[in-house]
Amino acid sequence: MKPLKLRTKIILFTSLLVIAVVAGSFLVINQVVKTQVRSRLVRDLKRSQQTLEQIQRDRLREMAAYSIIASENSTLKAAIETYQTELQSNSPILEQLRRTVENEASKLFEILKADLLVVTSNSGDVLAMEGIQPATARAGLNLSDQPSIQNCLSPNPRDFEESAGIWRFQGRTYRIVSVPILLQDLVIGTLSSGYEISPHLVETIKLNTDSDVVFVAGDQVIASTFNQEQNSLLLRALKTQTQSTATTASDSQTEVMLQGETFLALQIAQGSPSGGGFIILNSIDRAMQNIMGGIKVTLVFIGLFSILVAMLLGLALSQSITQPLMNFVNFMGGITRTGELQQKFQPHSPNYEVDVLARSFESMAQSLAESQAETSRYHEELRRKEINEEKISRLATRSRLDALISQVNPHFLFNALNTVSVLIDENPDEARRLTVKLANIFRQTLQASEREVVSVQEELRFVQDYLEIEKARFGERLQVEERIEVSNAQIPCFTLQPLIENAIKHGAALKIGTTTIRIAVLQENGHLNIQVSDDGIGMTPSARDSMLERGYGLRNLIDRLNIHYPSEFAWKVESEFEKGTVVSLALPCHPPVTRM
Amino acid sequence: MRGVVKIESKIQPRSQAINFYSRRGGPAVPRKLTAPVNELENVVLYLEGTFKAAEVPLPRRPAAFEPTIRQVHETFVPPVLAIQTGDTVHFPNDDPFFHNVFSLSGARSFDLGRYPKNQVRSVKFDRPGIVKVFCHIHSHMNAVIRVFDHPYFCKARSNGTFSISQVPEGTYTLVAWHERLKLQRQVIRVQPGGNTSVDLVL
Repeated sequence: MKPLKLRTKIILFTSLLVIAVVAGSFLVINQVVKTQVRSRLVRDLKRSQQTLEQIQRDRLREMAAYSIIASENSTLKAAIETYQTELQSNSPILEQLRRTVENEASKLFEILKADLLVVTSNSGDVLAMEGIQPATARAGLNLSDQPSIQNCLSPNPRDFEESAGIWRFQGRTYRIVSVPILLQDLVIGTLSSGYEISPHLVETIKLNTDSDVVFVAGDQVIASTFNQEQNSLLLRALKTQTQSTATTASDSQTEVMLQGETFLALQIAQGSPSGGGFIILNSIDRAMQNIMGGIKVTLVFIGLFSILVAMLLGLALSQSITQPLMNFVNFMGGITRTGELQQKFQPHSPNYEVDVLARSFESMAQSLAESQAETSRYHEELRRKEINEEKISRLATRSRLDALISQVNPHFLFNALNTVSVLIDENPDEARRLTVKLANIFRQTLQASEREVVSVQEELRFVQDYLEIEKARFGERLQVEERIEVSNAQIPCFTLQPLIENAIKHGAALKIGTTTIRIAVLQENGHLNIQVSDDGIGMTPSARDSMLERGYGLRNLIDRLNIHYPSEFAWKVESEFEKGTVVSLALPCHPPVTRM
Repeated sequence: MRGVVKIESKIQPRSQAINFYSRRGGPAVPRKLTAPVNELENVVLYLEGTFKAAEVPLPRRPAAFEPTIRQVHETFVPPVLAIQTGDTVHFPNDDPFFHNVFSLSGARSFDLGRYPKNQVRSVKFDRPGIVKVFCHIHSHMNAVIRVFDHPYFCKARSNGTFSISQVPEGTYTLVAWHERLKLQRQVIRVQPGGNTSVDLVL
């Protein structure tokens, strides 16, 4: 993957940072709002509870008041009291009395606008029951076990509304308030009236409280503002809740999930525990939506704006970082192009870090320039030194060569002049001829010191001139045989001459009798083999060694060959006393190195 | 026949629990009646049994006895009356406002209608039984009339003593009845010419 540009990185980073912050803020705001909503819902639920209780209390109070007034009905009282008196004598008028009670109850029922009205005797036997069909349902019914009736019959009754109960008849549920029917100070019966807890009632409560209301009695939803499915879900939730927390306070809020909507539920215990109670529910989600819906647009706008600002800021920030860097990079590029290390970085706008970098770079370039100068100076010196050394070595070689070559002359000149001086008297013609030869030799020698390398033929001619002179000295004692099988090879000058001079000096000169010198120059196997042999006196090994050490002739030659053919040639001296000497040279065929 | 009746059971005192409701559930604070009621005076004693055929028709009580229940201070006075069949009970209104005396009892049901002060309306009781009397206007007013088909009954006096005279010889059950108490029975033998003495506790 291509590495990201610094600018992209910075923009990305700032944007991500702000997105994270915005998202975090959203979460926090959501949480805060949720907490707020919850506490508000708790308040709302409390208020709904108060409203609900107020509605019920008012209704019950109204019922109680009407019932008390109704219980003051003299006909009703007379009928009840007489009925109970007649009951003892099993009078035929009983049915009529009961009808009277029923008749009165029916009239009261219409006035009270209650859903249920029940008149009992002071023993709890139902005498009349209005609001339930068929009327026969009351036959033999005794309600003395109902707390509200018990309250009426007790000598010190509690507040009638407080002891109001919940009665269930034929699948209907009623909120009931019971009042005593008094004759003077005697309780002769009870009058109970109530309203049904019906869907209509909970809808009315919902209208007043804005909360959903469910009435649950004995694992059954009696009335609800929810649909059936929600009701059953709620029941299940309540069941598990009561199982898990058996001793829950009656007025505690719990969260209930119904068809994907979360509600905060408040249970209100009412009447007897088995009688059931209201549950008020407020939707958390709806409340959240109400609050968040309003600010969500604002929040999203703020979030987007923040991200935009962050991107712009990131752009500006990256610009402020990358621009000086790019300037600096351009500056460095300039240095690379021009190679001018001593430039100064002149930024358009000062930037501390880049300035520090530039100063460091400049000082680095400075020291680089200095060390470069130093190096070139050093190289210059080195080269000069090398040239000097070479010159010196060449001079030395030259002087050595000169010296070596010049060594030849004195010996030869001395011997030649001796021979000529002898011949001047004996054979002046020969002496003249020899002198010419000698002149040739010296001309050759002069040329040689300039040319250094000669062809084998030239060397041979020179050697013949030389042998002419030596033959003149030795006469018949010196015989020369040549075997030359070379086309056009080049050799250093004075290669053959010293070998022949040695053969004469160390072989022929000391021998009594004829000495034959054989000269062979052969081109074989890429080598130039030169062999000079004599059958002269020969040398003892010690003589041979001392000859090499003293440096005359052969030594001189080998030293010179070492210069011309550095370690490319071989030489050999074989000598036996009174037998003769063989000197062999093997030279490379290529022209010798000249160092001139 | 003489005797003494005592009440040892607790009887709730008669009062009008007018402010029963205004206290909203608190214990009733009875408003005292103008004249305190002696519950012994509300005890009726009577005989049960078969009376001699010779005595039929049974003798009537002295004509001087004019049974009356007055309406005073929204109260029937006396609250308990014992009469013999054929008696006429007068209901004079002594209050300065209307009353309406009525009864729904099987022995004698009637409705005297509304009538003002100083008017007297009367009802004749021909059948024995317990007649509960009420006032249509004042629902707390109530009285009870015991109607007997024989003359052997009486109300106890304020000290609890009672006497039933001229009871023929025989064996009877003496019943002490109070509206608010369980009645008490006691078998007695009445000797001719003798005085029988009975003590009863309610």
